[in-house]
Amino acid sequence: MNIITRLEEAILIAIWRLEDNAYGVTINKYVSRSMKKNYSMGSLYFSLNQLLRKGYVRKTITQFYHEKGGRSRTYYLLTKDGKKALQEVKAYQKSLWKGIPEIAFDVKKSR
Amino acid sequence: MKKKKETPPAAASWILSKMNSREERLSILSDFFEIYEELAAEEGTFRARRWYWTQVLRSIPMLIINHIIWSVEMLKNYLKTAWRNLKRHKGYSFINITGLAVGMAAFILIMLFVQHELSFDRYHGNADRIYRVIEENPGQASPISAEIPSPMAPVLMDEYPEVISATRIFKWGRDKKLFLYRKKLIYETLYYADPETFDVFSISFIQGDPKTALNDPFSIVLSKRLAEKYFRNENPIGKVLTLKESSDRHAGAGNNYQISGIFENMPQNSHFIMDMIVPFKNLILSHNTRMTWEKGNNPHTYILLDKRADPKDLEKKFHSLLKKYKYQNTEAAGDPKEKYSLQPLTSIHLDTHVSSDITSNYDVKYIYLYSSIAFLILIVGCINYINLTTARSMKRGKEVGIRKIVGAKRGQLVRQFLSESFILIFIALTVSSILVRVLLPHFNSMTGKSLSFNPINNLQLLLGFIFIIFFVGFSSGCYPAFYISSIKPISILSGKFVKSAKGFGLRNFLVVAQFSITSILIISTLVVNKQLNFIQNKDMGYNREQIIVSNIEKNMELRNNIDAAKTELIKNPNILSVCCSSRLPNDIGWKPRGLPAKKQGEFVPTYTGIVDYDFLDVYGIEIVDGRNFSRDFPSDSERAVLINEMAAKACRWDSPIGKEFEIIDWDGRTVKIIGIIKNFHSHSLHQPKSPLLLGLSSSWKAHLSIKTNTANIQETIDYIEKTLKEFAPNYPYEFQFLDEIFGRAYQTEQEMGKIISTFAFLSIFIGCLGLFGLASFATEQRTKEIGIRKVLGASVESIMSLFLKNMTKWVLVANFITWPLSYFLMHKWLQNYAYRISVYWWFFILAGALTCGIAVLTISYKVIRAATANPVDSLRYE
Repeated sequence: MNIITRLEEAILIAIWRLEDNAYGVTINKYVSRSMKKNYSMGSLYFSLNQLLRKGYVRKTITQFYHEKGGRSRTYYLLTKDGKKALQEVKAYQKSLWKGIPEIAFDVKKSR
Repeated sequence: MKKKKETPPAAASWILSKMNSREERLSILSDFFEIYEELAAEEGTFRARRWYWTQVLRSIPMLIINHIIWSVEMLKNYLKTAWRNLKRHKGYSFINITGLAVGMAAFILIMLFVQHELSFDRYHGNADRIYRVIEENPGQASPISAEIPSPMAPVLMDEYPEVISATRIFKWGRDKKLFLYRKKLIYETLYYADPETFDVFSISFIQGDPKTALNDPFSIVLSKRLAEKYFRNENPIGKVLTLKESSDRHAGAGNNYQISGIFENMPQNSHFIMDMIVPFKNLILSHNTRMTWEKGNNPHTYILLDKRADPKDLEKKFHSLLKKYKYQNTEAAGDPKEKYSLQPLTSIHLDTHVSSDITSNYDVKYIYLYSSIAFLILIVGCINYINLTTARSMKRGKEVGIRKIVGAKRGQLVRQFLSESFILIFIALTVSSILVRVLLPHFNSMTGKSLSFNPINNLQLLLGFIFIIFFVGFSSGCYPAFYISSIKPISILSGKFVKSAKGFGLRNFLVVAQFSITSILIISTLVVNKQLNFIQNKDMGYNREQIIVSNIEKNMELRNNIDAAKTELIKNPNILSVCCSSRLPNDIGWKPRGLPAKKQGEFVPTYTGIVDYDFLDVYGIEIVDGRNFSRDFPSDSERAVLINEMAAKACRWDSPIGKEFEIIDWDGRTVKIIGIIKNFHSHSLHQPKSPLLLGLSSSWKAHLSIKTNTANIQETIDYIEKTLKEFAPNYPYEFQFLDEIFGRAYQTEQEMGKIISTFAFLSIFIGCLGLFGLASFATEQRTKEIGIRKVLGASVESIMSLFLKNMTKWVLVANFITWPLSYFLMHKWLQNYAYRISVYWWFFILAGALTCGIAVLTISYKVIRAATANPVDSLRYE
């Protein structure tokens, strides 16, 4: 199993959740909100590219005419592998936490 | 009201767009722009701008890494395709790599050689500030001389503050000196030098103090080499050496020298290598006259200049210096004719204009020659690569087509093919390094150098490697890369490209270039070797075979008993005759003295050799008129001389025999001509024959020449040594054959002959590799055509001639093109010799036949296979 980083995980979830509207800005906003940290666009692109390389996401480049001059957006979509990776991460986390009830935190704290 | 348009900072956008690939640029920009607009609307332009800038700057590292990762990803792909291609076409790869590797190895070897020659004297810490004083004396036999009167050095130091240090270095001709330590004989070249030598030059001491080692006139310092040679188990410091020199020169001075220091060996790339140094003061002590401004046998003067000083300024002051010191400011002396100037230390080795150098120099012409040969060979290798790659481009055409359709840009394809050639070059360079390592010992024995090859601690060599990689990479990679990437996918995939003739003209042109280079090298090889052969076999006018010579100049014991020794030697049946002379006939040397001509007041410059009664007999020199020296005429020993025909002719006397006259510049000696000898080559063949005078004297016996017959040479030498030892036991005898000495005078030429032959061979090898590759490509390409021709009734011969004609045509053309150029070059080179061969027409024919023959042989191998193949197979091919 490939373990992906927390940021990559967050990005994958963001892309998944954003569905058709997953492009740089929206992903960044989503991730920044969920991770409670402001990511720079650069580090986001870097992680996106890593995911591209690993084949978890694919991208489509669209062009639309907003004002004068073309603008384009790169939309990201989750691939099958990407979905599988997310599932794996989730399963992995579950297995990590297996047998540890929520209450254990309180017990430990109280000790 | 028009709303003011919000735009992000232009500079930041520019940076952003530059950092991304074209396809991503727009979407990234628009992402940024979107956030920017939002921010600007919510929090104002200023904050938005600030945000934009920080975002861009913070993104830079990540973007760069991103960029690199993707390039590496692409490069990995390129490497993989390149590697697969290499593996799939093993034959072509082999030819390509071998051709390049051999070319590179040749280039590296020559560069090592050139680097060595250029590195002379550069190892001194102050090399760029050390100058040698030279004297220009227009109208003299040797107009530029490095022998400077000995008062010059101290005067320079006293007069000019910018001269930090000045030293005199002197050596008596080519002499070695004989020292005695206990029973041990030390026979080495002795240098006289000022203590300042160690300030000027970077010579470090192992033992002793360089500041004081040469203070005592009877101190002596040795190099590590000599210390190890003669004092293996002892500490040499303080030991006393006795000079065995009973010649009058040293009369009056002491003969015991105490060793006061040991210095590190001077590197091979020094224009003089000292092993044994005695203070210059010692020379002054034993020769009082040496402290004058007189000419002749003067030391070399080296100065160390201050950092800020300009040698040109100093040179300007020499004129007044000469007036003041040499001519004591007297009006009668007039203006000094001689001009002193400064020669940078680092240029001495490659400057042949200055006479009386300590050791012989290297002619910079050869450096240029070898460098250009190296380049040419490298180019021949590159041409192979270009030819084979473009020829095979059709094979790659499909790949290129697919790549283009999938969306590869031309730049990417160019990059792909360039990286492919760089891989190949890298492999070739590795192979060539191994080749150089293997070949270096042979190359060293060929050139008589001790070059070493370790790129790790040779910065220049590393730079050379980088140069080779880029030069070869771009010169041979560029054309194929651009050519292949220009192919239109539609034409490839529709099959039109296969028949395209593009690149064909260029390939032929390159073959012509390759074989032109080869042909020039072959013609040069032929001419140079013929000339060397001519020198070796040239009738010099004297016999130089079976003559054993030994230098006995310092051997006073033997010289005093020479007549008895000669009688003893001649008793051996294998020894035919023995003579003594001042110099050997191959280099009578000496400055010409004036022989009075018929016309009053005119003098013929004539070389002078001092010989004995048997000289003409040993060397088989014929007498044209008059008689030889004879013991029957007692008066001979006083003043009889022989002259050669040229001298006789130049003087234009009516009857030279019996003529008496006074020789200019020779102690006012009056001599009488008793005979005329046939002209012989008294100097190297670079010089024409010149007037010569042979005198008879008992005191000039520097060389012993012994003529032997061919039987039992070793026994004869043993006998000679034994006999001579009886007369003078304490002398290390060295015997040489005159032939060897004779050959040594043409060492540079022989070296050149060998180098050119080797490289001619290499270039023909590489060229034929290329032809072989092209031939196999052509036959492969036309397999079907051959099959059809055969089915229709073509004979094997006709098919062969079809291919051979096509390919050898260009080799022939190459030969024709180079004929005028090589004629010109060789004619020029031969001008160096007063006696030379002419450039015969058959050299060209032979070179042409040779290249064509080898080319035909190489091609035939492939063509015969193709032509004799069963047409059924070839038609089924593919």
